[in-house]
Amino acid sequence: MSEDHAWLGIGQLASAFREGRFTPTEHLEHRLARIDSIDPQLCAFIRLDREGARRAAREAGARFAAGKPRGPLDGVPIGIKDVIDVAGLPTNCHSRLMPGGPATKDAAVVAALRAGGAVIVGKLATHEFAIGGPSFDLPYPPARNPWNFDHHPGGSSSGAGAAVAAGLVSGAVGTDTAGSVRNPAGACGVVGLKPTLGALSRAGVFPLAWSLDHVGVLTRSVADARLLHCAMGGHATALHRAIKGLRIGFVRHFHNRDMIAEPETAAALDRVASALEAAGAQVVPVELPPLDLFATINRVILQAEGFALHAANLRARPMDFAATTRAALLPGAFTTAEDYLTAQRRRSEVFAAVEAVFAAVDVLLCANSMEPSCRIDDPAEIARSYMLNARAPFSVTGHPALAMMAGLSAMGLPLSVQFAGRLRDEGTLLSVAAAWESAMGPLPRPPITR
Amino acid sequence: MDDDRFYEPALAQGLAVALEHCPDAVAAAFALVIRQRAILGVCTDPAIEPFVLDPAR
Repeated sequence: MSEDHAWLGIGQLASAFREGRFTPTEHLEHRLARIDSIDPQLCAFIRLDREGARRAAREAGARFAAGKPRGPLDGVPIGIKDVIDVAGLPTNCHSRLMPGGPATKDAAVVAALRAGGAVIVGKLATHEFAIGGPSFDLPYPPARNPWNFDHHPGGSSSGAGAAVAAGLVSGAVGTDTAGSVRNPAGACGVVGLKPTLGALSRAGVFPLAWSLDHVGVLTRSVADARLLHCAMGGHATALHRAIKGLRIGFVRHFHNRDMIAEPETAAALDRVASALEAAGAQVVPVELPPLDLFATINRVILQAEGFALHAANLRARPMDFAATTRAALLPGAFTTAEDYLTAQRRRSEVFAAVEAVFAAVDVLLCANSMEPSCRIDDPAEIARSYMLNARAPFSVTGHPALAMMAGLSAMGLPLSVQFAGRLRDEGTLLSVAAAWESAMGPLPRPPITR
Repeated sequence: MDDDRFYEPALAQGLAVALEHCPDAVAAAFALVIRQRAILGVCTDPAIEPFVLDPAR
């Protein structure tokens, strides 16, 4: 029975609660049973709040019984990445360096979710301080990929991707500074939306790099991504019923010149383009600055801002960080003001280049990850493959971007595609993603096998 | 890394503990910053040019 409940999305749950098919409490118990069954191996959650979730579900049930639900999130189980404050629970950032006391106040996005009646189930695994990679030298184990527990789930919103893909929650809130929502969305085969920079409040979110940090959402459908985004204060127009006439710029050079995608990924991207053309869109080739420039701008800014935040601990107790976190943050020690300001100046240049392309197209289509996720126990392979992505451009420019499944590899792991939209036009971005989702059919379900 | 040009800048940045426990990570961080400068177009000191010319470092 918990299997049936596992795959219900936000929109489906709202209907079920309204029609009285089951209550939020009954649904939550199925989810908690599934978490108890799967999560000891999946490690998506680092902390559950059973009592708080049960209380919230009872209150939502009472509202439905009274015919006064608060909205589409009322009674829906949601997970929160452990860099985002949830009142009463510690924000550990998956690190031994955090003090560990409970947060006294909800982050603004969590407060908005609670106001909408969402059931906050617990805190989800992340890479330490939302940077680095899956680590085995931290107080909490790294999350694993539901499609194959021996593979990593992407990151840094790793628990968010794993939990949504495994049907433990209907949606999750993550953060994205250099692709940390879109990477796990692609690796785990779900939908990950990084909205326009600043669209969602970062109040109460532990920062990584304040000029790059975004809050984003992970769900099992495009429509649910819109619902969750809007429930937290984001704006997105209703999904268009058709994309006929939209112009979609295909950035092929990201995956066939700047980096070389695996053939399965390249073929999947071509299938997406063909499906969108069949749906009536016009797909045209476009050229952007090279990926290496975007990625370097992204890294230099992140290193400088991240080091400034963690300098005291990196100087006094560097060995208390995970090795991957140290490696990612230490370059900031050598980054000069000239480096940082040059990166910010070049950021303005590439932003203008992307804006110029958006004058002629409505949405961009490009690669997300160049290959499916690798094994989680192979640090060298993780370090190599982590660089092989096209997420930095929209981290740097702040344009909204969405990653989602584009099929399955021969090994049965998700392949992914990325779409990007004009600033503050999440509605058109989501509509194009929904057109691909419609062509692809419902998301396949992971086998949950080791 | 057999080149220890990272050592003094690291000490100047207060990374003595990291130099003691994870010198390879400090060296790799220094080399990465130099490579990044080349991509961004920041002027590089000729004295550390070998880091730019040899990406493996």
